[in-house]
Amino acid sequence: MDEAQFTDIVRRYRDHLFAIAFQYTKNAADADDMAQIALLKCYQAAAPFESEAHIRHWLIRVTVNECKRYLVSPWRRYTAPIEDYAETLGFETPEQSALFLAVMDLPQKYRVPIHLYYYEDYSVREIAGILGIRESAVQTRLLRARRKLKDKLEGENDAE
Amino acid sequence: MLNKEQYQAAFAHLHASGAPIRQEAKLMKKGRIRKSAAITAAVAALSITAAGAANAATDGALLESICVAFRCEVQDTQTNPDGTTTYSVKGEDGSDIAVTVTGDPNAPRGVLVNGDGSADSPSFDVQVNEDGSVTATEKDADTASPAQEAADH
Repeated sequence: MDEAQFTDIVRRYRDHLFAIAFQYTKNAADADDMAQIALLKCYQAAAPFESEAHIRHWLIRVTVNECKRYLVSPWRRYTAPIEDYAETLGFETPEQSALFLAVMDLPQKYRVPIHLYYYEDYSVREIAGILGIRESAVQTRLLRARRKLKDKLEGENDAE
Repeated sequence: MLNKEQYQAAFAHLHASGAPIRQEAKLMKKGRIRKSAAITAAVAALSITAAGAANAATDGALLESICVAFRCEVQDTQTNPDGTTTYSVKGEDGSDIAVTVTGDPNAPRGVLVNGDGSADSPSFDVQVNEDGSVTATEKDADTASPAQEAADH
């Protein structure tokens, strides 16, 4: 892979990988590290990539695997309150902020499939492949995550 | 009901930092730096940034796969014929410090080298010896199984 290709890959995928890693780490600095490791591994990858979809899928799988290793590692940064981080993101509407916080409040096993489905536009089958779980498990997690989000967001609206 | 447009609008606000990943890749291309070293150096750079911003960072912010990180600027990395890796770092007082890390799989992971040449770790009791070497012993281990790193000042 030449430098121009790598620069292009970094430009196109870094934020995506960061957002996925953030679902695991809830910490911008560690999510940055995970995305960076995946990109450096891509740079070093010996096998040629067949297509854009292949690169994207490969990068996401590597990021997910690195994040799984991160979760069992003792070397983790202390997590700052997500509300503090959300305040730095400059949401345009209160609804965006509420949705972000509601998703981040979900258990991690629900956050990741939700993100891959709604942000990366992957199918249930593809998510199952990326996460190494059964399609039925992905469907169940998506269903439960949606219910939890609905309850949480509607509860907030009722409170207002 | 959650839809993709709403979700994507909310999460489009997440952006990675501008850490110098392309520079690390360039060094790897030139063969001046090994992949693991590049990652370590990259994490070191991030640690410095975090320390500057938060004015603290005593948390051993490392990854499991990384043996050593630095709270000081990593200027060069060299792989030695015996398989060890030497990191040239700039200390807090501007002094040059060379830290040589063994490739021993039993070597301590996550040792943090400070700008003053001292080192510490959340998992290991780290002692800098008079000859400049660093001895790391797993905390609370019944049987001490010291792993060695040589850190020549």
